[in-house]
Amino acid sequence: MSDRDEPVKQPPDDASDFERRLNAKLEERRAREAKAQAGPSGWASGLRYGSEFLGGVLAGTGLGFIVDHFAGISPWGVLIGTLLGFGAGTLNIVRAVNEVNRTAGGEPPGDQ
Amino acid sequence: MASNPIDQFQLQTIAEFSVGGLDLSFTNSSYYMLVAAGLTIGLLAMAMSRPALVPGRMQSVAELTYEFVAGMIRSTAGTDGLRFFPLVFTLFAFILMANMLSMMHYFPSPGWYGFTIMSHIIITFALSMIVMSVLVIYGIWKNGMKFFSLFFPAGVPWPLYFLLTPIEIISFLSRPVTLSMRLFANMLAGGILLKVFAGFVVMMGAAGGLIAVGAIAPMVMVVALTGLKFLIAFLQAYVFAVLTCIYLSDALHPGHH
Repeated sequence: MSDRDEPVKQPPDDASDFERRLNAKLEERRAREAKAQAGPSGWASGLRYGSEFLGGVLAGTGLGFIVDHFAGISPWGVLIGTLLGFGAGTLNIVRAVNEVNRTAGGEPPGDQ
Repeated sequence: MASNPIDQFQLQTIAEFSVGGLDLSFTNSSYYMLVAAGLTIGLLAMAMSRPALVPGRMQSVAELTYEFVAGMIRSTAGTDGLRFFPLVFTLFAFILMANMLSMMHYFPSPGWYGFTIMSHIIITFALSMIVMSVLVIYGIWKNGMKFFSLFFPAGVPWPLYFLLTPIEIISFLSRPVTLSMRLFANMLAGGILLKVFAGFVVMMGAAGGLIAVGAIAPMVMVVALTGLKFLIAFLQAYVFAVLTCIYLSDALHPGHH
């Protein structure tokens, strides 16, 4: 991952020529930096949101299962836990998206 | 070598050891963890053994890593998050080293096989439980009962708490799950994918004739996937560290979502 610019091939002829080539290089570098700041790839963020949601559902179901096991109210714990887990998963996604928006410099859409 | 793509994740006992019926054997996973920790400490100690004002190659790498992690904490948890620097840096360096070791398919170890430490969910789950324990213990010690305002989002009418508080608690409990699942799934999938495509190369090559020429296609895939897996190996260590910072910032300022 070299961030170095290519070495100059021929010696500079005059000042305006140098200016022109310098500007071209700067332009190129800015474009590259803008591309690098575009954030993670779609694949990475898709995986991120998917796992956030799945984690919420799994945690809710697991908690419901534990409540069932100890309180002996099966199957109500799992039922309610899974439903609440869906809510928690959605909340996780909203938070993850807000984090991305904040680092990208945009205003978060919600108050949350 | 076994052609089963899952075989590479098998635990092999190196030294039997058990306490009261509990199997605490020294396995290839333990071996690789020791190697990862040893290499991390050794390389950093070597890099900083003769510190110079104008850093050499090794020292530059060590300083870059330091600055990288410190910048990450500052941008996600604020400057007072730097008190967690040792924890975050240790986690990041250990996971990065473990993931890089997993790119070695042959490695000086009993049996000479490489091993992916982070392909076992119990390891990643234990790491994320360390983070969660620090978050809860430090959060309660620092903020007292105010820490639990994490579960009571401000500015909603009180009847909604019956619904929102369980959701917030589940959301909190899902953090170690997602944190560990992501690292585990990525490393497991990467390892299996590489092995499957490498298996294609051998199988098609052994078939002979025109099919053997076609083995070039999976070969190209393996080369491309190796590059991709290097990226993922780094990225997952980074993601784990970033999420650690984000979660730990809750311990510092609960109720700031």
